[in-house]
Amino acid sequence: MKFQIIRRVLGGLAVFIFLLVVSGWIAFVPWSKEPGYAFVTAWGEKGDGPGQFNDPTGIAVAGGEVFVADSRNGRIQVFDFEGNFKRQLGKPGKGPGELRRPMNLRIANGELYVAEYWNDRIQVFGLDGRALRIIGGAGSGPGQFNAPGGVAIAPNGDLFVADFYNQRIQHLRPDGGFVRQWGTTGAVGIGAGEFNYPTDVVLGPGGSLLVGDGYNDRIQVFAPDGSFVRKWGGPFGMNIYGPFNGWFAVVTALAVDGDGHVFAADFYNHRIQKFSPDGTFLAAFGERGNGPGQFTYVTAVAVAENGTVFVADFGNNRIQKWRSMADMIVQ
Amino acid sequence: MMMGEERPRVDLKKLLRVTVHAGLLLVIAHPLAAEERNVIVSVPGIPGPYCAYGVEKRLFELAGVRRVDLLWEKEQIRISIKDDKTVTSEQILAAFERSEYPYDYKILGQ
Repeated sequence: MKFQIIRRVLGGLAVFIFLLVVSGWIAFVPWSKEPGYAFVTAWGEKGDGPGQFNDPTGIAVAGGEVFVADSRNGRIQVFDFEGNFKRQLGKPGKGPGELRRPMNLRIANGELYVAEYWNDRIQVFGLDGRALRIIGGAGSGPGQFNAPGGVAIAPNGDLFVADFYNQRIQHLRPDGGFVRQWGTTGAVGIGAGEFNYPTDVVLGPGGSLLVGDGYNDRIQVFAPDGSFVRKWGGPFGMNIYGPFNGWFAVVTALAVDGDGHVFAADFYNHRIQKFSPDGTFLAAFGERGNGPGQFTYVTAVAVAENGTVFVADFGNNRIQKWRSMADMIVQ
Repeated sequence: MMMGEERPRVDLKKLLRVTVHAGLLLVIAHPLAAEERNVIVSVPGIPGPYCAYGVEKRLFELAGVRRVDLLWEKEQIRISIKDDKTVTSEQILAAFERSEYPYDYKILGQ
């Protein structure tokens, strides 16, 4: 009699746990809603010559060219869409036109914006390589940075900067004048509007601001008026990391395509994830390795106007090019 | 030597030990050897550039640091010290502290 009761209790417990796992899986692990992406080509290897990299950490595309932050080499390399080297911008150093640990890149209005992690500034180049201006400097005051990771540019030229160690996003005028900030300077937080080492920012449709909230393993979205809109990444978007669809293990870069789809570099999961503008998981591609279509830590992502995706494959010191399988089927 | 005075004995073991120590001192004092002074720090979880560059930035603020190498496979950082400078363990640990490195780290030795 006693044995039967124990067996019933254990049986009920097993069913409860099973249902909990299944319902948790359904609630928090979405499935792909697109055919996905196919590997096209890759280029690069470790080194300091043309077409070689020593830590690719940022990537941007414009006018049929791919710009890559070659961080330890203190330069930006420019390629065509097939990976042919075209030219180089910058050299290592602290002066104008020089770079120390360039990170995420952004191109706007025919100019290249470089977040310089070691020089604590945003440096602007012409796409031909001319050094144009420097915004900000080291510190934690308004308009100052402590290791900026990424920058976004509004149509009016305003800047939004992921100020990594200051745990904030700053909104600045084109001349560096302070407008406002999200997050409390120097304070880590997991609530809405708080950050845990933000790595990148990008502007979405209608001027919404998307933030790669790096070590909170999530993306946060803010309206043009500054108000919080939503966050996603794992259960409740509150610093729970994992390898499942829609979860992250440190977001290091963001990109938005012409339809407002959001692409996120999911560093420790060795993949790119794609979402709809409202955060619905759409697709993921990549896995750990050094073969074609494999990544060893993904640092950055950029999307061309035709939908081609370029990825900085950090550990393999190369750039990878991917195409949507849906586009390929149509063609 | 006077009659009855005991002749000093040569302790071969001691002589050998002194010679080896003197040789080691010469090697350590040699500039080429001094250039090789390294400190190895174990840094599990280091691959992320945001963490690695943060640590390197703080280490380079120490006057004695000549070079910092990230040894990916071993998850270690090798800190090379300048010939004429000294960097203490406390300074290295303080630099790590300032970098807000989120994982465990430990000085393994030189």
